[in-house]
Amino acid sequence: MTTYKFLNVIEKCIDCGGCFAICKDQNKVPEGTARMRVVTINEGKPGEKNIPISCMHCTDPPCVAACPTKALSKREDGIVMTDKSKCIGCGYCGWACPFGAPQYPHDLPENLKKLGLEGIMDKCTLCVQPFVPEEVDREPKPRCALFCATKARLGGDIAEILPVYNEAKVRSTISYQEHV
Amino acid sequence: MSHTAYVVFTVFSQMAVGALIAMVIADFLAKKDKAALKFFETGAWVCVPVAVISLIAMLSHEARPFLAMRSMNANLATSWLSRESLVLTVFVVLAVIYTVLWLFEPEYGSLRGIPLIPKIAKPFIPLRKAVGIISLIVGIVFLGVSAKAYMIPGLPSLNQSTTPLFFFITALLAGITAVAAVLSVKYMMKREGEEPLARYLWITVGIAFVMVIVLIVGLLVNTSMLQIAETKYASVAQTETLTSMKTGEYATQYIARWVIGVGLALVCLAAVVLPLKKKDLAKASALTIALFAVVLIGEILGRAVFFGANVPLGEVMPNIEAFYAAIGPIT
Repeated sequence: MTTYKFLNVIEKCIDCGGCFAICKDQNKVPEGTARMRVVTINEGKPGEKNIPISCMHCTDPPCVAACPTKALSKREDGIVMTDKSKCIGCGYCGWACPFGAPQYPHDLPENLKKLGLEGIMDKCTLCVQPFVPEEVDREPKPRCALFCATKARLGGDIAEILPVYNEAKVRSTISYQEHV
Repeated sequence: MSHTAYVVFTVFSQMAVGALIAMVIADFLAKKDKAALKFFETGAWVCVPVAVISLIAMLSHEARPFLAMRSMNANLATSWLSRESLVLTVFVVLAVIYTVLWLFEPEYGSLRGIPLIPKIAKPFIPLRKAVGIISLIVGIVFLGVSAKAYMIPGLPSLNQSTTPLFFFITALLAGITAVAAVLSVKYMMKREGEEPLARYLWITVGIAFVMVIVLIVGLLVNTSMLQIAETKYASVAQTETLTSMKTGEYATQYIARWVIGVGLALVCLAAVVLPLKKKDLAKASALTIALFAVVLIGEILGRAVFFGANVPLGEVMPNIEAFYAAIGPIT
């Protein structure tokens, strides 16, 4: 059974912003909100590291447990999806998430406001659904991982990406993942 | 999300529970004394309007408030917010019924002049105490469920045993003094009900004094518990919360909470006791109104610090420098 996950080889991330840009482009994420971001540790100091952060599609997602309207659900392939028609924008999933993944976009353009998406939770869907939901789910092909220049961002079937991640970690001399 | 909505929702919903508890106390205090019941009846006006204000606040912070009803049964299995929504709705329904049984009481209800409803309510009036007790139990359950909704791992600063304690304190402190204030206003306007008011004010002073002492203990325990965390991330979040409370953005409000909600409240309590002992109810009433104002301001300030200073785990990651500053240099 395919299980989709993200893994970050943070020693390789150079904060080029390519993942952020391609995510915005491919998922039509409007200005003022983002499905992923790169967090920099010790910026400008020795030991500077960058971590690409988005929804991590947790095995036991606290957001799914917390959502009072069951707008969030976990598919069999591990992807945590949002049904925007059920979301009431209460913000509880944002409090439950340890990564701060859920976003509640405000000041959207008029065309998006008319679709009733103002304040409705949006997050990474592994590129299955763009910002404006489509009727048919796309195939999970996380663009951030596909376009990462240094292969710091790995995304896809855990059976395929885990060996790549382990090899990259063995080659790395500093293991930030263990610290976080 | 605006914290104001959470502050108003939690303080006013808890005050509504406390106001209902106050009326149940009054109902048992009056026994079958019609004059006392007539006097206490005015206090029944507090609970439902306060609960409605809390509901409006809760709905105002949602993007789709008209779909909020869905939260009452959609995810009761795992979501404390869903459970809170359901229990609050049940409490409000019971509170409305209980209030109707006061206000439409055919002999002394304020609304007994309205056609038809008093006749419908009359056979149920003997059940009022029972309805009150059931509503009280549901209200207390609501306080616990509401606290659990905020006691999640993603909110380490609120995931403390002091959270339900603070909610219970708000209910008993703000709710009971609210009803006492309304009855005091009634006495000052009509100069009736001296004996029941005096008895009720003594009970109010007793409960309020105990609650303020418990509040002092709670606040001290809360600040010491914020220094202990299970994980490094929670430690960073809690440290940021404590810093914000003591020296940061919420320091002024935190100090004001102590000065007004604790210090002035104790002064007002002592001030109420003196005229009450001398049976000077006019003065005692005026000071009771001041006590309620001071208590309410203190609770609002405290809740504003509670939500405002709170740092969710999801905000620790973007502020990762604080995390690494907390654990030391990495080589």
